[in-house]
Amino acid sequence: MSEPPDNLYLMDLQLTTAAIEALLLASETPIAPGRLPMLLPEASPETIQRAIVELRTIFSGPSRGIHLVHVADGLQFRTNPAFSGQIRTMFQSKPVRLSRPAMETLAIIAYRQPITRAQIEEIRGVDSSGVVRTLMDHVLVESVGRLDDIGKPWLYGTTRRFLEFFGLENIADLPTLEQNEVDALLQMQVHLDADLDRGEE
Amino acid sequence: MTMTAPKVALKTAPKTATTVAAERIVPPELRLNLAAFTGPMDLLLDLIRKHEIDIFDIPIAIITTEYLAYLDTINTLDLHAGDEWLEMAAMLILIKSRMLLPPDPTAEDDDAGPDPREELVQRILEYQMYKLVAEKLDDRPQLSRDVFAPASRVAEYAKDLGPPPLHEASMDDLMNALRRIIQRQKTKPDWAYEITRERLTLRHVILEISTLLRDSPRITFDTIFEGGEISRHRVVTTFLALLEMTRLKMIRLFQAKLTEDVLYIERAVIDIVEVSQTFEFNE
Repeated sequence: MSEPPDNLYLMDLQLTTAAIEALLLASETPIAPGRLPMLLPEASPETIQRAIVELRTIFSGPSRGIHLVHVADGLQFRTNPAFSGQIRTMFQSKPVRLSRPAMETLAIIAYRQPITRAQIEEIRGVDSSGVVRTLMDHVLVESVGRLDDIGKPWLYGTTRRFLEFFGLENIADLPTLEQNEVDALLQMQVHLDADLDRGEE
Repeated sequence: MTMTAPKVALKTAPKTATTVAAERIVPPELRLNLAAFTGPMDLLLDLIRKHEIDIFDIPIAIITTEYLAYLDTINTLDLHAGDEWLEMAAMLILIKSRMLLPPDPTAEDDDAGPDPREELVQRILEYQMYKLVAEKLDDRPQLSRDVFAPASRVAEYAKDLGPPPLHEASMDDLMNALRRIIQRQKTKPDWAYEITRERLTLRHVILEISTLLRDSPRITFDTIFEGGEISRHRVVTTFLALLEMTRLKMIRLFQAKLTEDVLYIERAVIDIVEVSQTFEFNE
């Protein structure tokens, strides 16, 4: 009593999907999709691929409490942000925000890395040693090397935890300015150049 | 009214006396602003927004006046205005004075030279851009605040799954381990002024660490400092020894990944004592 190949494939896909679901629940860190073929040697890469797509469809949207997200080059189950209030009540915890100076500094490091402290301070116009240390204590920022310059200053960059913390897939996934925001900044630039040209006449 | 209010406050609730005094000196609308700015750039940006100024035609006199008024407020409250606030004030005054000067008649051509405000404008624009993206980043759902992952629960099982997960130690991990050792020693009076100079060479410390690693393949950072006197000289030499041994691939450094801060030193060669004797170290 042999089953038609289509059914066999469906069985295979269902089992693979279930297996990945189990792995995701048990894993402490995001699972890189590249690791799955090793963990599930009996499933073909195509099946694994389809299973991931399946799971991402299931675990998404407002009617789901658990979402499957792609962070720091891996897959992870996370709660739906809509229910953060209820979870915090359960944990009896208050939301902690990064301070404004910390967010400002973190953004500069994230978009400009690797960057020295002097370069950060040039943009912010304010001493940033304390803020950088706080960000390092939170493992959002780390020293990534030294600049080959006078005094060999440390260069700073963001960590893997930074990606996990903000739910980013990789650094290229950082939020960008909207087109109209870019336009506004560019407009200012053009305006400035025109002003300078007029000055030279 | 304003004269009697502090007296009453003193009698009924002494704790609030200073608060009342502060209220008397500083109008409330200024007090609110104090912690609101992250730095001079932030204040400048706010002044420009408040006055709906065209950023390319900043009335430098007005801005400078308001900026200095703000600095005065800080000083009134006896808060420490950092160097950077004064630096920016100096820059504004410099730009203001340059604007007042007629164009240099000895200049080679009729070029009026760059607008003295140009650099400031560029800096404000750049700063504004980072402020925008910082807000966007902050709006994202953040882990353990807006979204939760099953991570913390797994930590409970970690003990049964073997030793705590380790990751290759970074320079920061090594520095932190050293800092912890130094922190413990700081209270000793000998720490600041070292009287006896220990005769301790790099080779000696490397041999010591190698001997420890011969007996057990993985030791904690603290093991190195057990027993003996911990002097500054020893801490520095140990630091150099660990760097040198890592460079020569004799050892590998690992940091415990869970919150307990433990730096592990693992031998990377089996006959580590023999190996340590064959190298030439730069003393």
